[in-house]
Amino acid sequence: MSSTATVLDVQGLQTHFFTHGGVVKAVDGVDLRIEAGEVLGLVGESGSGKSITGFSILGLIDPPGRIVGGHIRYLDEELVGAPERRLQALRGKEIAMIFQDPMMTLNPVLRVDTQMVEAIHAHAKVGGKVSAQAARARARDALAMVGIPSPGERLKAYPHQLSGGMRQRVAIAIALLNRPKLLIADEPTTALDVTIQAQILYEVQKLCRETGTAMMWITHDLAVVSGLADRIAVMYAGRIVESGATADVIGHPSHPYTRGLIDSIPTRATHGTLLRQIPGMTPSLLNLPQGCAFRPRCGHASDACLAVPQAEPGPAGKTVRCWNMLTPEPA
Amino acid sequence: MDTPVLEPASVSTTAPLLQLRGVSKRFVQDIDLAGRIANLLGAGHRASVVQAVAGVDLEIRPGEVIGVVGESGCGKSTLGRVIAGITPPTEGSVSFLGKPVDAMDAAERRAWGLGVQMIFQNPMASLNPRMRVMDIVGEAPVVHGLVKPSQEAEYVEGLMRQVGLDPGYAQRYPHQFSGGQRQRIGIARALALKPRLIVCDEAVAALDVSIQAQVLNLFLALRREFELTYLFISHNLGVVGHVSDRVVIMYLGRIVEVATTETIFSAPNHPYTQALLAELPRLDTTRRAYLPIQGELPSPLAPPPGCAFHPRCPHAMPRCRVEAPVLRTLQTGHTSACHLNDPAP
Repeated sequence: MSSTATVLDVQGLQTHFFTHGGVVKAVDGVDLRIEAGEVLGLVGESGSGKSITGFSILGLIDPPGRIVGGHIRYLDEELVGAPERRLQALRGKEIAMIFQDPMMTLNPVLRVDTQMVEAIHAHAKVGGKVSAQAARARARDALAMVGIPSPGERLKAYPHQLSGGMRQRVAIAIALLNRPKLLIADEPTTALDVTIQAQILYEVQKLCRETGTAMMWITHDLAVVSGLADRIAVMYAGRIVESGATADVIGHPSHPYTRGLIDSIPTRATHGTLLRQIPGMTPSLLNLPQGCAFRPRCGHASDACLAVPQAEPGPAGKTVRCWNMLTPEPA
Repeated sequence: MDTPVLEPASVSTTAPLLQLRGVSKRFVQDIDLAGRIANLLGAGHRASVVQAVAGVDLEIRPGEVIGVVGESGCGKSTLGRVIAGITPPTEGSVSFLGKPVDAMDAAERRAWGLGVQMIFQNPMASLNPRMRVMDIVGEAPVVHGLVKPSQEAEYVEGLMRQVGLDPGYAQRYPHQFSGGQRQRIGIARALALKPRLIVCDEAVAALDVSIQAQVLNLFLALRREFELTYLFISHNLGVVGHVSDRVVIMYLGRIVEVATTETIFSAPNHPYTQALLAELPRLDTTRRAYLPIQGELPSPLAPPPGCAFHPRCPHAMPRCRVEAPVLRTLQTGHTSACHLNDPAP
């Protein structure tokens, strides 16, 4: 995979929100790389900054928030500080996003075809106009691609006439209309039932393989990305604490937080036992503890943790931010 | 594993704590005025009927944890509300401690009402934002005479300690707590009435993984301490597999399979259960190929004839389209509603 092009390279990204209560460091030094055709799972709990990372890449941060540092390179193009016109041309064309709640992203008073054709026309100026007929045909093909039965009829439907799973498929189809090189998916299956989630995961997996689209899958559910992603990055309080190949992160976690997350997942196998829980709760971003943000909840904390740990190379090619990295348990 | 193993529940042959016999719940939306006028002109509008729960038989034995699993719209929450006495069933009977609810006198009815408590999914919606924790937790036991007004503060503080909240926060309002803490307030409120059975309706679904683990551990600890029985409603088979002794799988208002957790996970019988298990996201170190079942849950307004699962079932036969299968006992404690279990004619 090393020969493929790097689609996205984020270095030291810092997105802060300047509120009345103080500066909220929602994203504070995030490094990410996504290669073409690769799926990166960005995992974290609520308030860890995973969604803000996604919004920052698309330049969707509104005041009082601001990107205060770092670089976002999309195919060697710097996106931090890029003019709004350029970002607008990229959004929905080269980089597309899928959100959690399709009812919020689809316009309830427009038919599906209107919304889809609009997205095609908005980006068609560069390569010449697209006829209405051709645009409709492309919209229909996109719907068929995400597994919507009888796409020709669905084009005429309004969002409220579709089920939750169908709506999310429409949202994905719109994101894929212009064949983006990078797709950012922000908890797209969280609101869906297990069987529908499996259907969406199946379609997305197939699409990435067929089209070579790079994808960033943002979720709080380690189990979902473990079967989907090539690499996983775990976020905590605005920083990536561990990243690496899925098998290495899940199989041999090096950061105590990753270990805690994995132990917190209830399964059949844990029946009758208490889960090994992480004590305490996620700290307020306004009032982060000194040094490592995970220190007060960590069972391995030492005096060294009073200083902020840097991202260091860990075992198996991983990058880990921890002074007391866990050694792999003997199997 | 250094974690302590809890004693297995006493799934004995003791009398059931709560029993459902042929319980059905229909929600009818009557035709509005415009529709009635149109009907006078021969429009033929019909009232729309949702069969949320259809003919459910269930026994809840003291001390066990029953998991109820199904997709949204399968009637699992309605079932929980019927059991908790919030929604009266349209048909069938609910018995508490061997006595049908219809035949109860006022005192027995009150014992049932207090003995079955409920914990809801969204603690922000189920806690009154204008009441302090002290009143949220303490009001009901005082009103029902379980606690003297003078001892309310002490009682509430004791409960808060038991669910892992700082008693010093008793005068705070719900919005001053985090999601996990709010859910603990909901648990304290349910415990305040000294219930025998607690219906947990997606009680951990809205919580983050690390907080969810804390609340699940709390549920198990409280169960041991107060000898509680739980009906644990969830769409997450992982959570249910962790807490339950028996699992009930529901599809479109009907129970399709009941078995011990062990059996459900090792030898699921119903094709729907098998599909749910296959799609359960698991921690995996290898990339998985998802092979989903097709289609979606049909609208409860117009359920398909015969077996409700047949449009999505890989084993559907002509018979499944016309005849609804009944629950058959495969072995003791394992029932499943599928025509595949019938001996060939």
